[in-house]
Amino acid sequence: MRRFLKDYVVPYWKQILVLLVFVVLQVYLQLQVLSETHAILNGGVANQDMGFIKDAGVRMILMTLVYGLSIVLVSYLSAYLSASVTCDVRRDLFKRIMTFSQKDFSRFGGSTLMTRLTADTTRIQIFMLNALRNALLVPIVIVALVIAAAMINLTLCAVLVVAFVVTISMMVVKSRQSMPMFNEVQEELDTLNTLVKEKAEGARTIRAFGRQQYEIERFNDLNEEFRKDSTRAALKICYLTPIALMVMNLAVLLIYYLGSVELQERLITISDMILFFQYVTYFISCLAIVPFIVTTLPKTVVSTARLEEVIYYDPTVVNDPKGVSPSADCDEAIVFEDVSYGYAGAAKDAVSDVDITIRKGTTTAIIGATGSGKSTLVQMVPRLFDPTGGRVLFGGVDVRDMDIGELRSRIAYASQRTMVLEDTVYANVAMGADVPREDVEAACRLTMFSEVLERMPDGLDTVMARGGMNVSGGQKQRLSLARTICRDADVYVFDDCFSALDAKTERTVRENIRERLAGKTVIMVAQKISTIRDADSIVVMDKGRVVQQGTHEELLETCEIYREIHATQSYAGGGE
Amino acid sequence: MARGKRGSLRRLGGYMAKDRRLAIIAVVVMVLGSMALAFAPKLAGNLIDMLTEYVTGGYAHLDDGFLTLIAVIAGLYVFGYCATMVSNRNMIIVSRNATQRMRRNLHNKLNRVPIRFLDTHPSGDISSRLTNDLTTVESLLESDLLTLIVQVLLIVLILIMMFIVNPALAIIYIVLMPVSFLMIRYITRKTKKGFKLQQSTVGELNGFMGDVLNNHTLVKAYGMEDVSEERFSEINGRFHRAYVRSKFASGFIMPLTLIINNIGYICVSIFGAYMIIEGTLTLGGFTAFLLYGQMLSGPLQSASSNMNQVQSGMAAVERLFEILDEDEEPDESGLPGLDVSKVEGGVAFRDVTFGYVPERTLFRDVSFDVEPGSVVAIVGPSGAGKTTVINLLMRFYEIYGGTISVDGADTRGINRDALRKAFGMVLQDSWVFEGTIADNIAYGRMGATREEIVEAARTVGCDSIIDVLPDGYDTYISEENSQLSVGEMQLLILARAVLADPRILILDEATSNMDTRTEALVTKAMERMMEGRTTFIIAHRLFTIRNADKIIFMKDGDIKEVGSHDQLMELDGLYADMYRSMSSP
Repeated sequence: MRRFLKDYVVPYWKQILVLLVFVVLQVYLQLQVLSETHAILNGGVANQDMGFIKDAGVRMILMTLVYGLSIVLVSYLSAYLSASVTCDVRRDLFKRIMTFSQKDFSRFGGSTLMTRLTADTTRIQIFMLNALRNALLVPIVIVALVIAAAMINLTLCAVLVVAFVVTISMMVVKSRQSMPMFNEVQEELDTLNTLVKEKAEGARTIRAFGRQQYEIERFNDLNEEFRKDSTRAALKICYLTPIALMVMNLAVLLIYYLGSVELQERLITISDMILFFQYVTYFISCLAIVPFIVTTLPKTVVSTARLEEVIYYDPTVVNDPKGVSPSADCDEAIVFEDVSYGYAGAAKDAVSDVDITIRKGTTTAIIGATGSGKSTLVQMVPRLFDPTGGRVLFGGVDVRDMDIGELRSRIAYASQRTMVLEDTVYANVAMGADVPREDVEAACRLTMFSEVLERMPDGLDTVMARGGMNVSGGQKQRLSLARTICRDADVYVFDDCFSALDAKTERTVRENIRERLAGKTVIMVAQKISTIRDADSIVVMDKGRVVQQGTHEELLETCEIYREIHATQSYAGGGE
Repeated sequence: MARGKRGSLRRLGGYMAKDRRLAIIAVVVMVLGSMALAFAPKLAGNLIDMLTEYVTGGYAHLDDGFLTLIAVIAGLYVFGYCATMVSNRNMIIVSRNATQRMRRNLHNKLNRVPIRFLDTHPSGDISSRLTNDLTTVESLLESDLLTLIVQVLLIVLILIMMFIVNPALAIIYIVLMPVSFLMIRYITRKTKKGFKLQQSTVGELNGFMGDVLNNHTLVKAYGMEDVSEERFSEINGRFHRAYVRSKFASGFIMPLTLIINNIGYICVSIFGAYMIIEGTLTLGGFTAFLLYGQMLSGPLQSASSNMNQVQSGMAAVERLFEILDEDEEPDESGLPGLDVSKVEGGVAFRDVTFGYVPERTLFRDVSFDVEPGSVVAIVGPSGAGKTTVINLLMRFYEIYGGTISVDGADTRGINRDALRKAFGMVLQDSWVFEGTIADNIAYGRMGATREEIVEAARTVGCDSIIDVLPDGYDTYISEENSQLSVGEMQLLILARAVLADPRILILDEATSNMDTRTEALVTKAMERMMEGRTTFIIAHRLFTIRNADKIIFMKDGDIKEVGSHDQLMELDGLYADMYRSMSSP
């Protein structure tokens, strides 16, 4: 928390100071207006001096105007500060996520990162706005009132101080007690909502098994628990404000009583007592914000912790260039040297002791079952993962010694999960590079995305729907392939991205890609042998290890697993 | 069904009916408490008058009633605030109970609406409606509604008290109040545009962030981080401006009301002072007036925002009632069940007519028979609507015309839940819920023992996968966070179906997301399950299709051809075309 405040709130200390000045001014002026009435009673009414009353009235109006102005400034500054702080936080959060490796990313999960970027930052924003605009007033008013009261009468001031101490300590204690309760309630509510979503998605299964009643009962149990706990938490703090107000008002009555004694001793005047009364009323009006703070503070603290977790997370892949570049005449485009990778907490490595050398200008295929580690392996080339053991060489240089931007610019990677940006077709293919439209069109033709393109209303300028919802899975893959081959790179990595294409399309597209990428280094991960049988070299992987490497014919002869895969696919649709 | 605001309010009242006493006490106590609190300043004024007499009388004699009066005022405060506490407490209980009931009914509803409703409403929408709208309703019932009533009541009471104390001074507030109210209304209206801009910018920002997160790998692999950050900063900056602008505009409400309030205060101070000099107002009356003025500022300031809250609360109530008013699947508890153990598995379609929307009929007079124990392959290009047949068999959707029968009995004459138990369904999007693997398999049959669960897993061949997990069958899985691959998940669902041991199977052969070895496992498990059971299978593999007893070829949502492989090849139609293109090298 301290580091968070230091990084995001302290930089605005100047604005906060200004805000503080205006809050103090606001309080000072309001108290001043109140004491003008006091002056009117003492100076004007007592001496029947109309002129005095008029002057006081003018002063009050002037003060009120400045008072209003300072509130406007406070409200502007609090809006500005809360927006600035959250925008800074969101920006850093976003930047940090941009540096996340695949490992870091899946550690948190996309949906919680999204919640952190949206709900958690918004919560901080709302809390800050109200805290700066309204809650800051409370301590300042307390201090100001104690000072103002002390200047009039010490006995009565003591009453006021006791009342303040009682109310504030009660609020602090109770809200501290209720904080964990509110957290629990929030968690229960989250569970209820996940449950609703889950059940809505599983409606067919639930009904197929006739489990509605069972689901209803399970939900009702949780719902009942939530009701109990949320009632308990709310009841814990619902007495706070009324008790605080009661204590303050009773304190006023005590002031009257004690005042009647001090009156006789000429230690106080009636108008002083009236002023006291008004001070307390002013304080009471400031207390309206307290319930809000008490209920939202715990949630805000939790949100802040969740944000800190991401912002101060050390990414596992860091850009630490050693100023080296791959040599142009190195014959070995990519070398996996004794590469291992283990997921945190996993008993076994997902990839272990892999040694593969990929020659420049050749096509190398990697085939194997799910969990064989083939996808993890190729993702180490553009450093989406870093190996936990061994190293990956790119043109003879350890990829970790290169500038990560340069490394990635030399690689065109097509991921297993097809991805489509919510942007134009052109932007989806060009990916931020300055590519002529003809080249994009050509790439689309080669991957047969042009068939889809022809039917799109604005051609290359058609905006793709989020997640590519406006096209089918196969069409998405065609687009993704167009993106990959459009890039001018040294190495092309296709991570199992022909799976959604029908046999005929796949054949044509593969042929086109081979022509287009002639002379380039290509790595192709696949599950179907038909996709890769023409590769210069095929690596068979199983359980994270390289089983064998060779050509299709060689492997058919010598590799048991390869034969097994071949056998299961020989009669399947799209087979040979 | 009662419609509109009043109807909704009445129905909402229905949800509080059980706690009627608590609610009524809350309201009554709140009214009495407000009256007590509104009366106290007047008496405090009297206190001041007593003290004034005491002072002017040369401190000779303090009215005997002084202490009594203090006690009375103290009593009023204690009563007033205790009343607030009781009313707060009651309304918390009432609102929680009412939202619990509402949440329960909504959830029940989701289990009773036709599948059509769930197909046309994204689950995220439904869940957020249940979350946000219910939270809004909770706050509406707990405080918003009552606060609004109390505030209006307090304003009226205070004005009455002001008239009692001094009608001339009361005029000041009678004039100022509408001015302040109108100004707040004016500002609120002005800020709407800014608020809308803020909302749409937030939407844009969230959309962009979501897109980048979803395509995280892509953004990194193509070095788009800088471009993304730039675009992000641009939207983030626009959001900053829109937010500050919107909040700044609405931030004028508070200072304006405070200024107006202060003006009232100043007027009272000045005119009150004149009146005291003239002798038409006592010092006590003057004090009471100042206090009333200050008391008014609270309700005046928040009444407007409270009105908005009540409005959005009512909108949420109406949205929730909209869901609650959705048509349900008709009650069929009166219909006969189906003795699952006696089902043989013959299925017949007779002149079936169906469409998802009335305007677009997909099936027209479709008829075919399925022998018990035979295999039906449903085939067609993607997007051909192959799941429609399943939707109809399971009665997830109802047909318009004709009949579908199981063992000769019209399925519409059989209790829906009982009918569905005759089927085992394994679809492509394997649904698992948050729970252990054992729980998920056991979903197939209530009260299945651990041995039976393990046996089912062994039957489909996923026991070896489960055994290597650290917690074995007690490993927690959920939709979002699972250590299992798509194929492994499907094996789990198959095990679930094995446990249920249905006579008729519905399978989806889609294995595009699986590696070959898992695919082989799944295929083998499916083949084993199909033995002796009537099976409808959405088929992708030529092997399955060729060996099916019957093939249903679908395209564009309609059943185009039905028959055996040989029959359809002879027909030389759409199926034959597809088959040839699939099998040619």
